[in-house]
Amino acid sequence: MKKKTIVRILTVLLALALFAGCAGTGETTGTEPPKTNTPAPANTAAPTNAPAPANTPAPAEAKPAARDKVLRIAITSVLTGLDVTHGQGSTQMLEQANMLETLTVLDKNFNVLPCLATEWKRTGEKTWEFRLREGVLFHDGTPLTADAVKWCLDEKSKYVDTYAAYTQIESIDVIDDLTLRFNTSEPTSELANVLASQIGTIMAPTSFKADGTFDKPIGTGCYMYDSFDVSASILTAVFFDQYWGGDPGTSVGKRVVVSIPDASTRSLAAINGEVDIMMDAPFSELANLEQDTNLSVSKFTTTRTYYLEQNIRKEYLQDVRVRRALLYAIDRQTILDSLLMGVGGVPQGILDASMPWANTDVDPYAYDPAKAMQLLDEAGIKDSDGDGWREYNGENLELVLITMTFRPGCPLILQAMQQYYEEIGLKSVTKIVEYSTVTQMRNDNEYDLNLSSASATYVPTASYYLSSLYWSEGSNAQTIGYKNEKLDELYLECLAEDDLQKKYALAKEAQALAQEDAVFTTVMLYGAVFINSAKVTGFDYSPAVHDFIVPNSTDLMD
Amino acid sequence: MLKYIVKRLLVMLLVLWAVSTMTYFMVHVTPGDAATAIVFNLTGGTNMDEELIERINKRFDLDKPVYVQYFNWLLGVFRMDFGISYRYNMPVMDMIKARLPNTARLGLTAVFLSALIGIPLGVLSALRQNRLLDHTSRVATLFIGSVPGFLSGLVLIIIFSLKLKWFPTSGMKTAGSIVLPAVTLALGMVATTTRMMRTGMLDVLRQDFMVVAKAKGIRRSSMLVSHAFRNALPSIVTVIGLQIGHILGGSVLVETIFAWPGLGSLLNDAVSNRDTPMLEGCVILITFGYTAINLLVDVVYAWLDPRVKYTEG
Repeated sequence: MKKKTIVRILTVLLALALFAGCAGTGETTGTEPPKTNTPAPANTAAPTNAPAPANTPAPAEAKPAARDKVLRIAITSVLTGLDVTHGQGSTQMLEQANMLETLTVLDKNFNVLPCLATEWKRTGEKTWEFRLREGVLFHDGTPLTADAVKWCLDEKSKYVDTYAAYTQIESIDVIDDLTLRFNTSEPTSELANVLASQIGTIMAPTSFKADGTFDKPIGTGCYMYDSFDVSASILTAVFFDQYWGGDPGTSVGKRVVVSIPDASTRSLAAINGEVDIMMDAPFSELANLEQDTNLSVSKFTTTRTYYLEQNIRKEYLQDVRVRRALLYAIDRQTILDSLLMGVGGVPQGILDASMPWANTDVDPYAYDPAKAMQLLDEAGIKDSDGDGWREYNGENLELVLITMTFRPGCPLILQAMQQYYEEIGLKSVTKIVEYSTVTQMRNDNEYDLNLSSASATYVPTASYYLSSLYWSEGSNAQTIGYKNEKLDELYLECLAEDDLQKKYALAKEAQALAQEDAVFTTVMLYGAVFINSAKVTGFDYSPAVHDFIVPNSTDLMD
Repeated sequence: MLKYIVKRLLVMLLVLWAVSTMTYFMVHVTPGDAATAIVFNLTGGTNMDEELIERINKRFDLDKPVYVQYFNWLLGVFRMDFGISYRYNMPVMDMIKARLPNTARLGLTAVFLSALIGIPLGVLSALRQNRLLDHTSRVATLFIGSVPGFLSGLVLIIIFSLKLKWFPTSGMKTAGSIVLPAVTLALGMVATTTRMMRTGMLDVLRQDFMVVAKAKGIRRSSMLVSHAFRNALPSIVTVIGLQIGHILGGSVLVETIFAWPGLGSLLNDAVSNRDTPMLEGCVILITFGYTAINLLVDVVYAWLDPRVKYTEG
């Protein structure tokens, strides 16, 4: 064959390949008829009339919705798998696709409510019993049983690294078809809260094929698995007609959860009407987005904090007056208004005031540069040589301020802090680095102040944040050698306390001590901003979940 | 020729080993450790539990000396096992298999577009040397090629997605999703393709055989296609080959802007999260792609131009 002919054939083949490639996955958007091939349940027991989970309103009795709409939700993480027994996709399938559920749920006020379990009680120092809801069906029609729940959680204990640390579950016994006993490694009063988080999602054993390989996630949620394009990171779920919670009264028949990690790209997708719900737009674009009449911009304060860690291994930071001065010097309201574009909040204490165990009756270290300068003078950090900069023990003091790149607000706040410290005569240098480098610098004692961020409700309990930052045996406190014996005692009492009011009182007392010490102090409250299509209804933010929940009742207007 | 190819294949293996080894140790000398990064991802930085870090260290053998980790990894590579991604807890090969076709689809479309615009424009530019069309095409391609990808990508999104509503802004949900990222990538390559094509054509047009062909009275169109264009083609094959090789690793920015789930965004993610197995998997694949395409280009070059002979020297 002549070379010319071969070149022509190759050109044609290349063109054909490209056209085939352009065909894409053919995912449609907009409205489309609902799927009707829902598998017939093995057990056709009608849903019970027990209360629906927190994210489901009372079943609508007026009319069965047409369910011909597609709700498209953009997420920030990349979804690479759906096997929750190996820690994949739990949050997305629980909170956005609503395919999986947990034994309990938390409402916006952090009250524990029934979901797949209807009753629970602590039966001993290290034992709990949970009673499952009757008549709940998995999406393949098999019933929810104690064996299925035990299987799922046991699998997680083998493969999910955080499972044991967070749940403290040592073993699970099946008492009868609908009753389970949980044995914990430590005395805990918080298991019902913990199991409401993404760590407690329940998936059916039939999610796996007979040869033990993962097939697809089969849960009990209002929507069931339809398809997952791992290469494009797009998960699709369709309405489940046999949902135990009844009809949520939505016309959304399909939910599409798509990964768009870049914040600017997510905003553009929202502006162009390609997604209906998205979180976290760049601060710089908020003003423009608010002008768009096709969009609805809503800002919420979350339970995540921006906190300042003062390195008390440094001699000058061992003086509480210096630590407090460094807090009084920061104008948080200006940071919120000017840099964070109103996304977030100024804390009245350590935690967001909406949390029932938050103590707001503490000194919030409101902006007071005169007081900051006075405290520094008293601590002996003064400008002795008249060059405009303060010295410590006769030597110029230059604070090293560090933060991570991961949270977009951190670099902004840190740079503002540098300006505020300059105003009170303190020289400082900022270092904005990757998180693992922050850890290295902390371990090597190469910084003075570390601005970081932490969720106060990753495990939604009153004691969690105390254990995370303030407990002397926790990694954060140990790194800098922070120990307050009274605070430690309060934390352990809070962890073990069954009575909710006493538990909250102990948590508040511990927070008051922590605030006085000013070693780990909340500088700002983290904000979430949602850019939703103006057609979205029934969406609300709950601070009690890990990421953000899109309730079963969320709908799209015509 | 066969000896030459075998020799090049051996060199390719050496390059693969050198690049992957350098990358491996460079990751290890940068500040921070992988286990901390993994726990940060798992918990959102909320609870850097020491026990959890220990457990991660054990599970991925990160508590062993670096050289032991390296040899274990190298043994795995010989078995085509690139390990488990720290970040995704999935086999690296599975992730790459899922993403590579997306990058290939994007890259080949971009190269195709670049060739489609660049080659005719280069030929026309050469035929109209130092005339208005030549000057215009040179200035225009230089300008377009100088605009960074993130800017041209955003401009295209604003015009064709937000204003005209012709294409989606991101993702790969619909057939039209590939257009804007492919055009953005192609714009960066058009200038090179056009310039190379123009130079190649001008070189050929000045050759004696073209004068002879003209003297023989061969039709202009036939002279240009059969003699000039064919002889100028090898230089453009080299450029296109290099562009294909570059696209495997060079589309990071475009894939990020357009949320295109390809290899570039996977690599970017691996670097940010100290996901060494994933980083190594991507680096080996990109290096292999680059060297293999270079070899292929050399072979094609010899095939297109019989004067080219590869010898052992």
